Amino acid sequence: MPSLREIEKTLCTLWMNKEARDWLRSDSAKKKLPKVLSDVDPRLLEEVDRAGAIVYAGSINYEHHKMADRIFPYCAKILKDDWDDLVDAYYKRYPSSHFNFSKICNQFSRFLLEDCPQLLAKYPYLAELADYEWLELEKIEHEAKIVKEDSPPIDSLEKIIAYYPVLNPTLTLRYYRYPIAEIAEKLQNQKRPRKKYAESECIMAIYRDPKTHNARFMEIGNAVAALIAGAEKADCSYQDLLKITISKIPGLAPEEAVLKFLELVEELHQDNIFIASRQNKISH
Amino acid sequence: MASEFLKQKAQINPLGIGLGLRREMAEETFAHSSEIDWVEIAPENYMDTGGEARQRLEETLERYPLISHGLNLSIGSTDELNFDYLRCLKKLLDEMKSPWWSDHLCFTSVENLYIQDLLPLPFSKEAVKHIVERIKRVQDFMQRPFLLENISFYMYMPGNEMPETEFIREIVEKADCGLLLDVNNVIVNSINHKFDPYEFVKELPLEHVLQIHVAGHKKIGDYIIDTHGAAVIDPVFELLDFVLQKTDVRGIMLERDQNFPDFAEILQELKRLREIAAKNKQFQSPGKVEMRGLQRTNLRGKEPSALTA
Repeated sequence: MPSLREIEKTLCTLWMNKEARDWLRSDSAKKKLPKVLSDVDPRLLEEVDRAGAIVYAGSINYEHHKMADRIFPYCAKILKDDWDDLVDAYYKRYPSSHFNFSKICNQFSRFLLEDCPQLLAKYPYLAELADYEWLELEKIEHEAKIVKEDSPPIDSLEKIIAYYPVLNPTLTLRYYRYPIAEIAEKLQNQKRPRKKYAESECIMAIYRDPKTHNARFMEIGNAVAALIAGAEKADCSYQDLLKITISKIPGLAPEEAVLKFLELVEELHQDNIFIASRQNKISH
Repeated sequence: MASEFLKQKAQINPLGIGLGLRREMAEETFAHSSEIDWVEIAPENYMDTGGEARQRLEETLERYPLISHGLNLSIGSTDELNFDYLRCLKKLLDEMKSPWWSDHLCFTSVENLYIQDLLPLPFSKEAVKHIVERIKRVQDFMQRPFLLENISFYMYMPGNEMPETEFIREIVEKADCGLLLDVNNVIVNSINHKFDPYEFVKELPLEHVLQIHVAGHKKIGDYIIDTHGAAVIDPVFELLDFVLQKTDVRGIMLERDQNFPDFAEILQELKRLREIAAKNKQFQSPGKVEMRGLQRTNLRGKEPSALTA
């Protein structure tokens, strides 16, 4: 009598492993037992209800593919007929280790980078596009609560000195090597991206909007990125951020630089990248 | 030895007729609180999750008593119990003040990998012993009445030594837990595996049934599949009626997870459930002790005795 563990392991192999699934669907008398099943007690395999096992194999495989299709529609569009095989290869390499099903695809970008050199040679931007698509789900589900606080507008030098910004806790900055925003926009508008893209840095602020709960993707310039990166550091006041802005936009007169900075800060608040301004401890 | 679970069951106030909370139907579910007594969630969708899901949970808690029906406890797995999962679930249940919680009599993980499906178990003595021991550990940890649901399944596993009813009875009685009887699953299995659903339920430990699930199914190929994506058929309602003649329960819930119809159809099904419950004098006598969380029923202006109106 096989043990409970042997039964569970064997059936999971039959349901989840592609070679085992193919064997299950074939006339097993004619087809050689795949290596993944070679250690299994033959009496156990004989006892398996093949028709029922095929139902489970089909259902599990369908649900896994549906999840990947839902998270990575752009990658799927690019790869067309090659997509399903790639998804199979991914799940074989990174099977689901989390009770939340949607986390199953959290290594997909890494998988493309580390395991798919031929694919990346053809589509060098693919891993970054997968990262971009994954971040949409990650931001939507991010556990942080985004609490917008009533804060005074930062509109004077006094306030620049006295206050510091609070960042949206779901925010991530990405420095993509390829023009991911442009590629994603094309795919969203049902257009095919170009065959080749030269490297061209695309910096994005990606976060969840507190009102709509949707993920937002903002393409930003170097100066804004530096400002946000500065704000990510603890105890970084608006005064510190002003210094960063001045260093990133050289040639501006001091008054002009302050005005430019105030404009930027206001936009960051409007876009919910900054969600509050609090008084510096030192100025209390 | 007297069943601790049955003592607990006697203390639990009835919730009435409930509906599974689904994003696609959330707005209408909130708008019809006079026709829905409570709602059930899949906790995995809300554990460590913020944003829209979190807001939906909070809005639900303002309106309804909330019950958790999990997918990934994996009680039949030979892996170690996942205490990260249990800690996270416990936190959520505490917040929800759930009077009970449930999961499925199945396994969903092997060697710490989640398969993301409800997979059948061999009806064996080893499985009974293994599962009973795990339920006891889980109950000790969670400190809240626990129910196991009978699943629909499409194959008998190798290693069966007893009928499914005996398997369920052995586990529920030895572990001293509750049973969430899914009458649609009984009908689905009875068609796929050719047995009499009425004889099946008669052999179950019906006194342990605290909650009942009702749903629709669909024929796909050679099998009837438990899709939760179609209207409930008469044989399911009729089996529910039969079960309610034999035992009293604390909640009956309609599951609809896909192929969402006009909400009027959902309300009609809920109405029929309420009529069947009323016919069988369910939900009329409140339990002796007000359990945490059940006060919400009263806050909504509904005394338990009004649930059958």
